[in-house]
Amino acid sequence: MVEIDNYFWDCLRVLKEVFDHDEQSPVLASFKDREINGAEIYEVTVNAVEAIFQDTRCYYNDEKELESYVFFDPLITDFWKLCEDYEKRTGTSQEKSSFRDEMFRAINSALYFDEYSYGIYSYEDTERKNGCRLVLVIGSEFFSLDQVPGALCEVYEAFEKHLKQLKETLAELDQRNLIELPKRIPCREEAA
Amino acid sequence: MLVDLNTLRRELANAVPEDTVDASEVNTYLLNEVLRPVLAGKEICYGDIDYSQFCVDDINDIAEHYEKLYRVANKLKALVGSIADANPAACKHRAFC
Repeated sequence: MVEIDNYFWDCLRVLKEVFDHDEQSPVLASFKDREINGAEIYEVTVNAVEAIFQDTRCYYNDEKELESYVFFDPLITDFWKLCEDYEKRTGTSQEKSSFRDEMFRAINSALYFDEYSYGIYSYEDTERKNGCRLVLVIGSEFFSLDQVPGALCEVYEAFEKHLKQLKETLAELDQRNLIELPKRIPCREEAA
Repeated sequence: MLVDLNTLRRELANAVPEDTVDASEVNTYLLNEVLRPVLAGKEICYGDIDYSQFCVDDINDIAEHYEKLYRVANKLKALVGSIADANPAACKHRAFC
């Protein structure tokens, strides 16, 4: 019987997750003519990791043997900008901001791996050059890389969902702040 | 190990053909367009896959299905090996054809 290793199915799963995220993803086109091969799981996964957010940069620290993925996306920057805007307008502190809290929960929940050799960092400072970012740092003993693309898709969806909610909330605040103009008083016709 | 070939032949003749592993719960697209062709030795490219035909959970199901098939195939292989390794023994009673 032909032996099919688990990595074969992992390759298929990773590209399915990319497809569900974006049917037109360039990753799908780049792998189109290649045979499904479990031995290429690392290549498939790294390409998928870099395809979820608009701009992904990868750095490797030789000394500490740490790999860092930095994710930039207008979606991330827009969310944190509007979050700040919401906090200023409602006088809510960052610690008590429900949007901020929910977003952190969503990120931590999606990017939770049954491992110890990784860390997630979120930079929400909107004044930063290149905008806000999300950083995933993984050590040499991180063995769940194939779970990362699916997790990033979840994070992306969470940003989309919460950004939409934020926009709706801010639109409601705008409505409340509108001052109704007095109705035009019809001019009295002077008696001739 | 002694194998009575007459009994084995009679049991095999009476056996009702059935799937060794139930495939009713797995996604038919993955079964027919991925697993079966791969088991038949066909190469499948990523571009051959219609990703809209299944969900992520279906991939786990088909992988489990393959594992079950693999275990059954191994048992069958072991049985075939045992029969092949058995030394023929002469019948104890004279028989005339």
